[in-house]
Amino acid sequence: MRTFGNLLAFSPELWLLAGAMVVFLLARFAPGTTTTAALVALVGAFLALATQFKQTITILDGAFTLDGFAVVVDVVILAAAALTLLASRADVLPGESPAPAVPGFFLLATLGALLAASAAEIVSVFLSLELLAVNIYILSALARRGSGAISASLGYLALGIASSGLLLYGMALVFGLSGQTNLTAAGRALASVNPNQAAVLLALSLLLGGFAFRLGLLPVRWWTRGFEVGIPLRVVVFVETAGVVAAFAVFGRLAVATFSGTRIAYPAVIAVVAAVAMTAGNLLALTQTSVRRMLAYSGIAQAGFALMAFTDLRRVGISALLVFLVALSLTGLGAFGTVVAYARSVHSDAIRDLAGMARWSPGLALALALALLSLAGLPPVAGFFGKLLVLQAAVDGGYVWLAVIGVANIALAAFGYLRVIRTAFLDSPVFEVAPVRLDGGIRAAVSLASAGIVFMGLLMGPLYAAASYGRAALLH
Amino acid sequence: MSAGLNLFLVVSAALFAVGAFAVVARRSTIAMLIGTQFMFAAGAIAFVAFGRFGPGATAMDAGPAVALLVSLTGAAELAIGAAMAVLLYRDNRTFFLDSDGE
Repeated sequence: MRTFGNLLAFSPELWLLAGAMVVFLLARFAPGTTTTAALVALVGAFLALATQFKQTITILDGAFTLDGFAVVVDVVILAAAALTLLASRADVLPGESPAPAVPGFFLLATLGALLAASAAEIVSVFLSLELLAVNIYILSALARRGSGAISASLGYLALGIASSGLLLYGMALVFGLSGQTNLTAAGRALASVNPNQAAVLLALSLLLGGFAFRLGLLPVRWWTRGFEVGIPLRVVVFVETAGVVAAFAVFGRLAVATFSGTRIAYPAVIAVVAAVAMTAGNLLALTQTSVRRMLAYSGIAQAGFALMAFTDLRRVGISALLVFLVALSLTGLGAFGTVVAYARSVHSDAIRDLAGMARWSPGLALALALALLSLAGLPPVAGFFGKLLVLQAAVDGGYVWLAVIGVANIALAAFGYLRVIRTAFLDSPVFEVAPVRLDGGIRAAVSLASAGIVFMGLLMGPLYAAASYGRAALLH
Repeated sequence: MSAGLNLFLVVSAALFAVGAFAVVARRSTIAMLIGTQFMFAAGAIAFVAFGRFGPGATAMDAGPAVALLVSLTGAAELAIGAAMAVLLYRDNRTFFLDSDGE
């Protein structure tokens, strides 16, 4: 019975699963309470996780490894999911009747993300990523806004399943070359038997292609239809924070466990992808006229920046990646939360309609400015520290040219985002705006995210210690 | 023996290519969904073939096990996709995705 011996190590996941079931029941009998119930489940999962700090547990014969890396990532995912849920009620448009079961699907998606962070076998990686993805497909289709909305969800679904297919094929190649399904064992086999290098490179390319969608490297034009149509922003926020963090965690584990021992030049491949994604993402973001589109495209640039950390996996790469992911989640929540909140008042998310924002809602304007500064990577806010560590990793890994491109991108992004901040603070308002009273949830979410963005610099010591702990657990 | 592996891999790569083409080039929801299932089937065939002929003699059951779970997830996603396609048809009276919303 050793296989099922330590199922209790799944207690955070079990909290989420039980929470989802409760939410689905409540949706039938007490539809008003589902968001609260989901938040309670998230807090319970967090407390359950807190009992598992500082140990490494393997579950189900090594299918899942709950190590320090997984715990650090889990904390980020749970926090991002909780803040998204807090903000989600404000994203419900007047006249829209959201399905009361929506928080349940958020919980199941979070469950998939947590499992993905600790998955150590090919099968468990695939299944947990699919659990995450399937629930996101459902969430994206549950609130239909406008006639094009379901078309957007379907396009998203087809692209998502196709990228899962790429992922599966890459994993099949890894299995075929190594004969192992465990990621670490496969890496050992790939390093020792020295298989056809072209095939290993093909496997890595397929995996990177499959992950590109989940890491946020692809321009998902279906998300950027415009305000009040298409996929609701609360789903976009969840995907851009918790979803991206989970994907980077899996890809990090895969890169360290499976590919870091092989003889192929995997950092070079990743460096090229990172450079292209950063530059293209920032250039696309600069040309946008709507804040929502701008944030969506800057997500590509952020993902490219995070990929830079993979050029130095053996040393500081993983610590840098973890710190960067914390900054990325806080920034994403702050930025999208502000857009959701302000768009309620002005019924628009065009950049030029931000004019006068500092007068109508100074708090939101400040939060947006902080998030944009962090997005650009300017000191002294969260994004700066993440980007600094990632640049450091690229230089240590011997990719000075990549670091130079990274710095150029910071300058480019700063130019674009400062323009938006100037509009929000200095331009004279075009029309009168009566600020809408926001509910407590989104206020709390935006304030917490902004506080995190401001104070992350002060907490760098403990944060970096936690990230180094996660890195040590991954590298053994 | 290895001729068998190559044959299976060729079949699986062909299926994968057909599926990817359907997803990328077709605007009809039904064709896209079928294409995604082709891609999944290709991956499953590759897993089974590698499990049978590849160096994974230590993990003979792993290939078919992965294939089984993959087809289950594929079916789940197909169900959601089909439900969305029905919604699309109800809204627009067509199974084609609109391509104008850039």
